Amino acid sequence: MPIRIKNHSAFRTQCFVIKALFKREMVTRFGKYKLGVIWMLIDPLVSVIILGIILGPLIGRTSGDVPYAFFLLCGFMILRSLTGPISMGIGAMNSNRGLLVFRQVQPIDPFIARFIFELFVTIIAFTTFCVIGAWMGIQLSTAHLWELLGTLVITWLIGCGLGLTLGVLCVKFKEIEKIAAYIQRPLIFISGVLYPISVIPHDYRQMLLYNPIVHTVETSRKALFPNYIADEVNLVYPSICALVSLTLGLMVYRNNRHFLTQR
Amino acid sequence: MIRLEKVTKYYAMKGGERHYVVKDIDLDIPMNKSLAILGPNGAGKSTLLRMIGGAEAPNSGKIITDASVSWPLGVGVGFQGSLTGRQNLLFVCQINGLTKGETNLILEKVQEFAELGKFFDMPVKTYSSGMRARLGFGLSINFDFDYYLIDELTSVGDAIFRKKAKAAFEEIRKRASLVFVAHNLNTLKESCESALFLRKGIATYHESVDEGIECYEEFIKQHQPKKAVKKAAPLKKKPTSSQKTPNDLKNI
Repeated sequence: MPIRIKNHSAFRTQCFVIKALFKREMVTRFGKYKLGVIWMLIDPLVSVIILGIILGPLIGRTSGDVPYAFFLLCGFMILRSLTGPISMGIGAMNSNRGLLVFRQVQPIDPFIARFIFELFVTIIAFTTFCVIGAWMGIQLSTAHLWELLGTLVITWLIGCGLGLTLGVLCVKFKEIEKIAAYIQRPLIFISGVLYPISVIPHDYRQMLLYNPIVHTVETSRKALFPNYIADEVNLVYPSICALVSLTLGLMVYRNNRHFLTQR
Repeated sequence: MIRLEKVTKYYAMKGGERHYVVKDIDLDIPMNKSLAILGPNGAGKSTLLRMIGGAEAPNSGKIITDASVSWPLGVGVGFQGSLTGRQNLLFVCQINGLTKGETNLILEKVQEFAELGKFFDMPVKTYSSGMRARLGFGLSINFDFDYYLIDELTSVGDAIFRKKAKAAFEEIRKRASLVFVAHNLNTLKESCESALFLRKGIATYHESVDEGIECYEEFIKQHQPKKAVKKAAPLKKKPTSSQKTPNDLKNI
């Protein structure tokens, strides 16, 4: 007997779709590698080790009480929660085009599923590293875990907004893909990932502070190591940036939603 | 019943112009009466079907229904190339909120119908168009829809698939109605009762399919001579070849 599809509410259907897309993302991201899920830990770890060896002796002295490896790690994980959604957003439409034919799947669903997936991966990787660090005897403060999660989520939200904007626009203009790659490259240098911003001269520091990622990166270090000095940063400014970026993303999406389903 | 109210769909062309696929069409598609959608290439038949199936939204107007409508079934439609046949089926079951038991049943049934063998666990992009059609068709007939939207699906595939598809169509027609896009007028005559003739953004509804096809053929005749004159002009230099071509075509 053929199966009758039950009527579900719109919200329930969207949950089904996002769950299915999430599973699909798991399969395609990790399914093709032999080591599978381990790769999501190895990727950031390799960058931390390489940069730690190269820059550690030089900049390591400036990070104060914080072990330089963890100093870098905080920066990398926060930056990752920004660049992850951006690069995933750019590919979202192309790699799910075939699935948009189903009425249940709206063009925004692949974006949401991918963004949640990125957050999920980043949090798991970060937690694993913290657990390993604590086990190795590094003094990590657990008093400000909510603040740490907050910095991660705020950065992620900024990334989601940008990812949605660029992801929609790059269906229209292919060049966006290239431009986004160039823009992301210097981010590691201007977001305070490699050095504490307290070592930067005052005038230049004020310019750096226009970058919301600097705020979240420094706050995340402060959350894990209460002795770390980061006075000029706050979470209000990045939160406003997140709001602006999300609004922009949703506006661009809404204006182009008919265009996205065209073949 | 599917009701289209003042449905307008356009595509933005280069230079900001709008190409209207359909403009302000009102239409009721009654239950238990299969509909053929006729029209020349590029008239918007597939787009209309995609709108009815919910794959695309109209720019203005509404498409209202309380019936369950399939997704537009066509060649290479509805599957993500990078996923295997099985993963694609699982996806469709998941977005419809099926239970595990129902999902397994569907997997089994579709595997049986589509006869993909080992290809069932290969990415869909490695499939031939016939295999894709078999997978899509096999999946849709295992759902109980009120309307099946079919876009040239039966024109691909070998004789075995066509025979199977025909048998399945007969089954479906007992419990549901078809909305059919095809260029083979005989297929349409066989399986549809009413017709919708689409051209240049205008849609005319005909109660009987024969009437609709007559209209369509009339339209083709009207537009044929102009094209024939244009084509004949360069051929005049070689009268022998121009005489030959019609005969050759007939032989084929």
